[in-house]
Amino acid sequence: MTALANNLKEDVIEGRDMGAKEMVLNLGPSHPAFHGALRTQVKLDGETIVDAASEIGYLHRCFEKHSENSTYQQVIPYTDRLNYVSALMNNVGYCKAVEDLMDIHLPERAIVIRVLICELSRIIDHLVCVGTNIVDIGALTNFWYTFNVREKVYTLLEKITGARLTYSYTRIGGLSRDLYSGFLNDLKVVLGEVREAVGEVTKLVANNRIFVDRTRDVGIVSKEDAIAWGFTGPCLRASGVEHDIRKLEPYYQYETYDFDIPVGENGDTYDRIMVRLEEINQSMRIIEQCMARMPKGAIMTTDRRVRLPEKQEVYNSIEGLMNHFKIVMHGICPPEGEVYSRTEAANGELGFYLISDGSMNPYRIKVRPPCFYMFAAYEEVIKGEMLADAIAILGSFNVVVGESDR
Amino acid sequence: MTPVSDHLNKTLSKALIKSQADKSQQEIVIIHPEALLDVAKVLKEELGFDMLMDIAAVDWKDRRKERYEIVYLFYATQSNKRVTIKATLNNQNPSIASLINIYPAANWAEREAYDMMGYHFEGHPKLERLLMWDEFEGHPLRKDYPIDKRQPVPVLRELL
Repeated sequence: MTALANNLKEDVIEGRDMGAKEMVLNLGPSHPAFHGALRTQVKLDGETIVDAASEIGYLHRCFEKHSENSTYQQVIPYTDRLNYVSALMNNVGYCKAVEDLMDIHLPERAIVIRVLICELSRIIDHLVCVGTNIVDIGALTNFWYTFNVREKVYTLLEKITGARLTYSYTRIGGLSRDLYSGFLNDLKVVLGEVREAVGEVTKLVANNRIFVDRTRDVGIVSKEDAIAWGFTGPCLRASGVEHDIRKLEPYYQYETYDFDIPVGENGDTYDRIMVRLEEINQSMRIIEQCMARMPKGAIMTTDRRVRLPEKQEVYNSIEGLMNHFKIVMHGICPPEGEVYSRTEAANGELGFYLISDGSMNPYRIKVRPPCFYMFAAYEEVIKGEMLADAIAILGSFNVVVGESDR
Repeated sequence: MTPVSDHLNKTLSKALIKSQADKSQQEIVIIHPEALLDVAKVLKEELGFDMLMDIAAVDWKDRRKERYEIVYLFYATQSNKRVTIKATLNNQNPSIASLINIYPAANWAEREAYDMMGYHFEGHPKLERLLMWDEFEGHPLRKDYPIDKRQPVPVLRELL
């Protein structure tokens, strides 16, 4: 053995400072483990992160400015592109905000369908999050299980809405189209497959030694920190706060559904994944109750301010023609006022702060994207963690750039 | 029901301008901007509003004499209550204290308001652009920023 190698060996054994320098490393903005165009720069001491700073904005498309220059209906397709993993929930969240502002009440069937598609979206969002999170830390098998059934749900949603990713399914005052006949049977089959897949994944990971070692006590966010940083949704619940808008400030008759809120204990990556897996089961419970109670009837409100009249009426009466003309040419004009409308999206509280000046364009729309606050805290959470764990933590925060950058 | 403004009336009556309710009967309290830190402390320590949900910046160009408004949305996790706090900022120099020491969530929310609307937050340790790039000129969400204006594309910058 050479003298140099001998010296090195002694240094290592006695833990002497070998003059290693800190290294600065870019995570992202374009890297397969960084889901979307995010960028974090970390300062490393060996493999330990000593400092970090994040940057967003790569996917900024000025959603809010565009909205101010669009009519209320034209904003709906933009909302698809917020959280594109569960686009239907943004459709619902935005339309609910406008409806709240205008005091529009939806027919029963529209409400139940909205709950149903929201819960389906929650399922696919969680499947993507859990699947990619686990594949990032080396377990590829689960990815096939989750993405396989996600594909089935996508096919189902495509049959309802006509699109696979950007649905634009809701309308202000209801929905664009009704469910197709035979939908409930298809749904039953898909739910069975989702249940099987979630069961398989849970069995594969929950007590898996490697998985537990990679996620237990990694990226712990305490209850107090989670609240202070503005965490909502599964990440807040994983930290032990039993907060869910569906339970605490129920909308769309969520109080009449029977479901539980899974809560974690440690607020680590393991808890965040497990909370999501359990939420999929709870969403399936809600969907089954939706199927059981699916009422018959209209899917659009009768409110003339937002509903296009029937073609028969447009062609045969002057009132119908004028009504049609006003909505198409002048758009929807909510009364002056403001509202902060929130829904429990897959990632947490999705809020729309909407100001109307009585004209056909929204005066101001401020979106509260849930993952914005999680990613803002990310640079603090990963300090002191290992580099490989930073990837596991990011996956469990489920940052969707379309939403955080708007 | 105006629990927050009643409480503020007792403890910080000078801070209060008026209170109202929005469509969902949620309380909106309008305060003097210089009293924000005191109000935030009362909200957090005495009234249990432990979460800053969001900050919205609104430009009322031509519609109001003082065009810049800032809106804070607070939430109390224990009592499940919400309150909206609003303040109007100076036309020439829209500036208000940073809430970052009381509510860490204000960090990026304030940076966004600075970036998009040009508000200044006193005491913010890193008040830099968040969504736009450093060389970007102007503040895109101001009503007088033309929607079709284009600016040169930036290069990658160092973060640390």
